Amino acid sequence: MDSSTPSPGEAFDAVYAELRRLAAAWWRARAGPQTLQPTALVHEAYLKLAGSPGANWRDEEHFRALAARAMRQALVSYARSKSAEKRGGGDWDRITLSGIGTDPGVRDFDVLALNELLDTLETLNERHARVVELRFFAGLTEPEIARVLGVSERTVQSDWRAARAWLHHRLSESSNDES
Amino acid sequence: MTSPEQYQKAVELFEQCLAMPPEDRPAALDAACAGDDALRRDVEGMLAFAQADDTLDVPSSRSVLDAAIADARDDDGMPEVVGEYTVLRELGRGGMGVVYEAQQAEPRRSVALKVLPELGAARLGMRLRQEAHVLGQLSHPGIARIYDAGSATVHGRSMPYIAMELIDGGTLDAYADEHALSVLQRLELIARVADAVQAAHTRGIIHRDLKPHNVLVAGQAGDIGQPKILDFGVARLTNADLLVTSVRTETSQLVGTLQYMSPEQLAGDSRHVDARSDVYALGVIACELLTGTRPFELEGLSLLEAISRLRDSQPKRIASIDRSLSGDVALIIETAMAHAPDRRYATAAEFAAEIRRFLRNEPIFARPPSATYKLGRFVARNRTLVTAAGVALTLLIAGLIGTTYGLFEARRSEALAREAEADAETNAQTAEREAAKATAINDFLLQDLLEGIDPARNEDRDITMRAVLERAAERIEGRFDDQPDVEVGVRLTLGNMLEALGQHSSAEVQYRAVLALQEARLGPEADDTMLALNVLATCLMFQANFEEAMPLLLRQVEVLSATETQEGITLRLQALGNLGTAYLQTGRYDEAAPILEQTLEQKRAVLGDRDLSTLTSVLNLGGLYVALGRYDRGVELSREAYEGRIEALGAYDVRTMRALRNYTWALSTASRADEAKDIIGLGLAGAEQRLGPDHPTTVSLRTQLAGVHRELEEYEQAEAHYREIHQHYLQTNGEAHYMTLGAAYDLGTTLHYMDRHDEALVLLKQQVALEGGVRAGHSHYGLTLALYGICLSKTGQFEEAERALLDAVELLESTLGPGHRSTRTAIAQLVQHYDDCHAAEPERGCDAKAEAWRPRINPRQEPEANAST
Repeated sequence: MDSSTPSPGEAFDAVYAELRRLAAAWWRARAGPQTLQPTALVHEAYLKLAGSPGANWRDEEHFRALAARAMRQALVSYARSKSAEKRGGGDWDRITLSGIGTDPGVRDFDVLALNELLDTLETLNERHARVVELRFFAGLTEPEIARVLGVSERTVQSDWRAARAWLHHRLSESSNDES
Repeated sequence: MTSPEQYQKAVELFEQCLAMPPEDRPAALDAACAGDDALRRDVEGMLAFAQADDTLDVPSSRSVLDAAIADARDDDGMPEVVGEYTVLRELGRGGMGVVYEAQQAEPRRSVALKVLPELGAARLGMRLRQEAHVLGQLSHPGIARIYDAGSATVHGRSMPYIAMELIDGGTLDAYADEHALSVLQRLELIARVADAVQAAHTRGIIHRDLKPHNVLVAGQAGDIGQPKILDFGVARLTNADLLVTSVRTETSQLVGTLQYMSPEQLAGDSRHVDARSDVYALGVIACELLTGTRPFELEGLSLLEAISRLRDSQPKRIASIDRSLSGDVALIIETAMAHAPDRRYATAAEFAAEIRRFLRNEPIFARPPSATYKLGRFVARNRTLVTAAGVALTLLIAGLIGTTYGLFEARRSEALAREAEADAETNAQTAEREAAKATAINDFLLQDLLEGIDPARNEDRDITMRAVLERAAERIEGRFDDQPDVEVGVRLTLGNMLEALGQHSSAEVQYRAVLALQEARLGPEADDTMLALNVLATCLMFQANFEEAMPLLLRQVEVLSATETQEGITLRLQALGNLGTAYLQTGRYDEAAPILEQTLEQKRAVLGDRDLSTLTSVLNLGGLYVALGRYDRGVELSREAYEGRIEALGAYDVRTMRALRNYTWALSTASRADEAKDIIGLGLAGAEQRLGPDHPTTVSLRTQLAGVHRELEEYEQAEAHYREIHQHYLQTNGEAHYMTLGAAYDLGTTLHYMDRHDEALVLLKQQVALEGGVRAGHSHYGLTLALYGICLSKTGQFEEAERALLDAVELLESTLGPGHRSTRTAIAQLVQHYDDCHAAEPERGCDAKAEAWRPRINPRQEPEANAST
C-alpha cells in the first residue's frame, strides 16, 4: 500500500459504522421511490462525522479515501447478507449499481460481481483499482483522486479510462456467460 | 487467469489503439496479439466499450455516481388508504416522501398527507404523534397547520405519515412570477414569510429547511398573497436534517437545497443551529426572489465541492447581481445572510421589521461595516496592543463625547425654542451664551480627556477609559467658579460617560455636585433642579440604593404634582414610574403595582407608546408581572420594551441591554429557556464587543446565559461561563464579595451536576472556609455547606458529609424556616446521603437515619415528625 492509502484503524471504523448505518437506513426506506447513490451516503457520513470530536483523518480527501473503501465493504456486506437471506426462496434481490457504462446491453452491475472483479484488478494493478474505488464509491473528481494518490491528473484519466473499459468488458463477459 | 503483465500489456495496447483511427486498429491488433487470443479478446472488449462511449469523455463523478440502483426505482404505486385517510391523488414527491391529497373521515376534511420513508423504530409513530401535538398548536395564518401524525401500514410496511392543511397555491417563486409581483410587493411577501417563521420561533420550533419550495402562496390575481410555510418542525420530527433528503434525492437536487443551508448547518453540528439559521435561509430566499439568482454559483459542482464553496466563500454581492438593489435592500439581504450567526438579524421578526422600515422609507438599522465597527473588531482582537497605542481609546472618547453632548444639545435647543417665543431679544443673547457654554464644555472635555493621555508615559499604557474620566473629574474642582452652568454641563457629561461604563458610584459624585449647584443657583423647586434630582435618583437606583432614592423621588413627585408644563408632566411621570420601580425592586409589589400601572397608562397617553420613558414603564411593569407570576403579560411587556429600545436606541445601547436582560429573565422565569438562550447569546456577543467583557451588563448577561444553559442541562457551556464570571468578580471585587461567592457556588453546583465531585470539592473546600469567616450566619453559607456535603457524600467521605449536611440543615432551618424550599432541598440531600451511605456501608446504620429524616422533606404533608438524629 502506498502512503496515501488509509490503513484500517479507528478512523476507518467510525466511517464504516456511519456508512453502514446510513446504508441500512436507506435500505429500510426502500419502500418508496428512490435511488441509491453511494456518494450521497458518503457525503452524508462526512457531514455527520466532520463535526465529531474524534474526527482524525487529515482532510476531506483522506476521509473520502477511507469512505470509498468503507462504502464498498458496506455495500458488499449488505449484498451478501441479502443473498444469504433470500437464497432459499430463489428470487432474492440482486443488488445492482447502474450507470458505470453507457452500453445499453450492460446497464446494471451486480455489486458482488463488481467487488470480485475489483479484487482481481487489485492484484493486476492496484492503482487502477484504487482509482475506480475512489471514483465510484466516494465520488472523487479526477483532480481529487490525483491528489489522494499523488499522481498527475493525466495518469488518473488514463487509469480510469482503461480500468473502466476492462471492468466493463469483464462484467459483460461474465453476464453473457451466465445467460 | 490474467497476470499483472498481461493486464499491463492489454492496457498499453488499448491506449495505443485509442490513439489511432479505428480502421487501423485490426492490423495493429493482429501484429501485437499474434497467437494471444485472450489478450486480443480483452483489448477488443475494452475498445468496444470505449467505442460505445465514443467521445471517451470521462463522465464526471456526478454522471457516474448520480446513477442509481435501477431496481430501487420501482414504485409500489399509490395506496388507497393510509390509516383513516382515503387517498385521492398524488400531489407531488420530494426529498421527504410522497404527498397525497386525501380525505379524512372525522372531521371530514381534505388534507395533504405526507408519507415519509419508513424509518425503522416502532416507537416512531408514537413520537410523531406527540410531536404533531406540539406542532398542531402552531396556529398561524402563515404556517400550514399540522393536524395529525402517526404511522400506518402501507404496502405491508409501517410508514410514518403527517396530515396537514391542504393549500391551494403555488410555490413562492412561481407565485411571484405568475402574479408579476413588483420588487416592493416581493419584499412584503418575504416579510410575511418572516412573520410566520417568527411565530414558530417564539414556540421554539426551528424550520431548518426553508426554501421557496417549502412555501406555498395562496392569493388572487394582483394580491401580494398569503404565504403558507410547509413542513415546519418536520426536520425535528424526523430527527434528520439531511439523511432523508440526501439518500432520496438526486445530487443536483440536494445541491439546490444546500443553497439555503446556513454555514453552521453545513458544518453538521446541530447544536449550533438556531433561529438564526432560518434567518439565513430567509436571506437566501429574499436574494433569489428579488434578483432571480441564488447567492452562490454551484452549477456543476459535486456535493462536497458545493459544501466547501458554501462554507468557505463569500456569497455574491447583491449589487453585483442587480445594480438596482445596491442600497438598503442589498444590505438587509446581506445582513440576513451573514456567515457568522451573530452578524445576522437575531430574529426573523427583526428581519421582517427591517424590510418594513425600508418599505416605509424609514432608515434601516443594518449598516455596512463602518470604520467604527472595524475599529471595534480590531480592538476586540488586539486589546492590549491598541490600549498601549491609545488610539482606540482616543477615538472611543471622541465618540462618546459626540453622542453624549448631542443629547444635551437636543435638550437645550428645546429650551431655546420655548424661550424664543417669550422674548426674541433675549433669545439672541441666550443662543450666544449657550453656544459659548457648549464650546467651553467641549474644550474642557477634549483637552482634559484626550490630551491627558500620553501613550509615552508608562502608567498610561494600560490606562482605562474609567481612569481617564476620573482623572478629568478631579480637575473640575475650582475651574468653573464663575461659570456654574458650564460646570453643570461638564459634570453631567462626565456622569453620563461614567454611567455608560457602568461606573455608577463615580457618576453619583458628579450628579450630587450638579444637584448642589442647581439648588444653589436656581432654587430647590426649579425645573432644572428637578432634572438633577431625577438624574441622581436614577443613578442611586442603578446602584440598588433604593432607600436613598425613594425620598428624592417622593420630593420630585410632590414638587411636580401641580405642574402643567409638558416637561414638568413628563418629569413627574418619570419620577412616579421610578418610585414604582423602587417599590418593585424592594419587593413591595402591592405598592408597586397600582403606581406602575397608572404611570404606564398616563405615559402612553401623554408621551406615546414609543417614547423612551414609556418604554421604561413598560419594562418595569413587565418585570412586576413576571414577579407576580403573570408570565404571559410579563413576557409580552418585556419584549415590547426590548424591541422599542432597539428601535429607539439601537441594539447595543446599555439601556437596550438592560431591557434585553429583563426580557430574557422573563422568558427564563416563564420556563421558556430555549428562547431566552438565543436572545441572551446574541446580546452577550454584542455587549462583549461594544461594552467590553467586564462591563456589569456583560457580566450579568453572561450570568443569565450560564443559568439558562444549566437549566437546559448544557453543563459544559454553563461551566465555562461560570468560570469566567467567577474570575471577573474575583478580580474586580475580591474573593469575599458576595457576587464572587455566588459565582463560586454556581460553578460548584454545575460541577456537581456534571458528577465532577472531586473538582467541585477542591473549590468548595475553599469556599466553606471563606464563607464560614465572612457570612457564617447567612443562609447562603447554608447552601454552600449543603452542596459541599453532598459532594463529600458522592465521593464516599460519609462522616464529613453528614456533618456538613447537618450543619447546613440547621442553619437553613434557623434562617429560612423549616418549610423553605432550600431547607427541604438540603434535607432531601441529607436523606440521599444516608441512602447512599447505607448502600455502600450498611454497617453504619444510616438506613434508620434516612427513615427518620425522610418525612421532613415534605413537612406539610407529613405529621410533625418525631425524627431526631
